[in-house]
Amino acid sequence: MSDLPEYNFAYLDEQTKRMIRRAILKAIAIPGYQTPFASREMPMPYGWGTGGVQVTAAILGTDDVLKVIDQGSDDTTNAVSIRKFFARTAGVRTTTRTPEATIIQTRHRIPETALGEHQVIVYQVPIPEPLRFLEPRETETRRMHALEDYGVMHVKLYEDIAQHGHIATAYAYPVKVDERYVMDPSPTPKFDNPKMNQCPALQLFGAGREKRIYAIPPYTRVVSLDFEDHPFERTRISGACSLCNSTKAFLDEVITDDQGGRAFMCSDTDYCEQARSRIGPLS
Amino acid sequence: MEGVDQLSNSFLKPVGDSHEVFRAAMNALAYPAQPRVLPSDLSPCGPMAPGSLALLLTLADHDTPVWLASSLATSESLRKFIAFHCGAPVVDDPTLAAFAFFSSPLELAPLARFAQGDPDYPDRSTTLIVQVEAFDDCAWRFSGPGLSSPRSFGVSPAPKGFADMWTANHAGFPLGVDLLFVCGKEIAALPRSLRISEI
Repeated sequence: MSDLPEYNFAYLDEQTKRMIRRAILKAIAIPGYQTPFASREMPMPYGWGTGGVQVTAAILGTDDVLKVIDQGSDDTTNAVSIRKFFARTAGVRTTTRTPEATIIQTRHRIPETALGEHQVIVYQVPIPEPLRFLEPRETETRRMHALEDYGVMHVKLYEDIAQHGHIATAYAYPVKVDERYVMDPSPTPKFDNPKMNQCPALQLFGAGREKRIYAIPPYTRVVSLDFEDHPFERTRISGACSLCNSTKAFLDEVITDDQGGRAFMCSDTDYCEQARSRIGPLS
Repeated sequence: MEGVDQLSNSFLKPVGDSHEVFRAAMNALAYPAQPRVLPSDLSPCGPMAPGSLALLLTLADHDTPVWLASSLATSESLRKFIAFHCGAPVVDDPTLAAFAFFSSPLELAPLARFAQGDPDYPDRSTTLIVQVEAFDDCAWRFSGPGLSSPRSFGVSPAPKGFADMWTANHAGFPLGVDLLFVCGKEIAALPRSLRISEI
């Protein structure tokens, strides 16, 4: 008896995996549409990525190499615990290197290194419905998606312009997938939105508490909503990473003392480490 | 059937095998209209090919009503296989089916008889799993999500008027059915999001 595993492979039982897998197949066939699924209680609280974890568990195999990032970082609490969770329940190989990973679970960043066809990126999503803060009723937002009635979203972006002079939405910036569904890209900075367009990798989104799975197939047109006279702008703190000098990567602000001192560094830790190993430490 | 014990005709490693079959189906839908490997060590069950059986075991269970085309529906051993290995109810009404199985693409028409989904819930549609004799790449040209450039793809035997059938299926997007074609140890998919043109 002691030879029996404590868990089924990757924690979830096979019937649950079948249910999630069916939802994933439907989500791929209807890009950007939020497919309901019977989200399970996971051994971590809502908000810690229970949706992403269930999607990852349903697609994970023994040959996969898993990378988990939290705000671009491989070594923050959420990333470390999810990586350990799958190392323990599935025994899969884990990595922090973006090109080596076959499955990348992410909380709110897309790696700076371009993804390839051999990869799947799984997003943890807190609120999958892009219209939720504009219309609280699920019955109504369902109908709005069915009728492709997205005027209210443009009004919201217009109100940004009226109040601030520009579209002030900086993260969870709504996109239109293959000219049909308006979709919430999860709270990624809008800097990452262009990476979703025509991406060679399959993109899966899991929302555990809200019980929704959606997808962007590879090579799919993903357009950030905007206006002709106020086109979408990719924003980034101007300046260079203080560790690797990158002027292209998305930067985090780091408080260095209590005198108002601050520094900027790459949000994507793997990208930063690789850049540093190429150029050597900055003096 | 032909000396095959259908009670033991199942995945040797249920967890690993169903994962491999699912990933093949997932990648087939994500990178559509291109055949890829569908691993399966199963024996056929009556008129049902091992690839279709592998998809059945991977995707169907007591939550998913299954519909069988007339060439499959008459097989008593197949009905027993589904009851024993999946517990999935076999239904006569195609609008109730989560999965529909065909032993030939010539039985496909009309696609509109299957569940198309609901405007609020387009996922409530039937997925069609179709055995074909061969894949060829010259019959139709597809474009859409999953394809970096238009791609030609076809199946043999080719159903008559398939381009019109598929145009009608895509016209209802996001409603419609999705097709999974099985040929020996290969699978290729046509999700409803694809547009078709005849070459």
